[in-house]
Amino acid sequence: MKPAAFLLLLVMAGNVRSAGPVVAPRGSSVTQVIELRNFEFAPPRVEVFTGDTVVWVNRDAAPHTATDSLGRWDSGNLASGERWVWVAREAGAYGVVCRYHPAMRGALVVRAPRGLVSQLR
Amino acid sequence: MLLRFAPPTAALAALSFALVSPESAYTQAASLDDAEIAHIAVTANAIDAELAQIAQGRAVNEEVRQFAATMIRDHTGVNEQAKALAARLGVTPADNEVSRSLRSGAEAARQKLENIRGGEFDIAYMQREVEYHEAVLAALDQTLIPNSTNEELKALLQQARGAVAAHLEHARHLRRELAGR
Repeated sequence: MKPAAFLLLLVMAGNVRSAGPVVAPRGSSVTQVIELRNFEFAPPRVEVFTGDTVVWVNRDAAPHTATDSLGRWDSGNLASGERWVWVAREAGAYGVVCRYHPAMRGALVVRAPRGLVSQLR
Repeated sequence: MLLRFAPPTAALAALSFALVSPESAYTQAASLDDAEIAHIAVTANAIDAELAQIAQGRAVNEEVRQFAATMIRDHTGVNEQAKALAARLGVTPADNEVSRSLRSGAEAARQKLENIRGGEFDIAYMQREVEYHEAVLAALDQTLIPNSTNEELKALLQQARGAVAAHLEHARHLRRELAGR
């Protein structure tokens, strides 16, 4: 058996052995880019799955932050052109604000893992 | 950089509120080139950041102090971009009658605020910020952006416009809040 095929079998065995949800391999996660442009989050509302990556990029000349409205996470100061990478670990709905500019508001929804296919018994 | 002539506008005259006569603003506006437009924008940014430095130490309301901190952060950020752009283009922002009058106006505003303390300072500062950002926004829309010829300068002015518009809304909100107390 070729090493790659053997590895695939191991991965599959791991999934079958699990009593919990089956999730897609890690490689299926995606990256969602949110721009901070013209003092707005663009797009203003984003949905991702746990394991996905969200990248906030400041396209304005003025600095911004991408901050959870309840203070659970915060990008810190993002100067013009800077980006912040955040991995969605927990499902939930997050309000996103800029600490410097109160009118800037966005929403981020993190859903259950992508690739949830079945509950194996 | 290409030179282009900007028509006189009431917006630029409003921005140059400290000029001895409005006619001189019109005369100056008729001969502005990109280097001078860049200098007006840099001066307008610097003036508001400097006034905010005073407000940070003088304001009693926490939201007003935070607003002042935002003015320093944002206007400094925009000016860093402007200086980088000027260096990249090999252009030296040129002093002119409008930017000099802005300086005079800023000094007058500083002196006016100098003798005010407590909650009255907060109200006077936010009133000044509303009026100043209204004037800068009008100048950007009616004169500075339409008459800038370099595309990168125009793009930066449009970015600055976004900041000024957001600041204006923020300032109006705080002014309303302070008036309601």
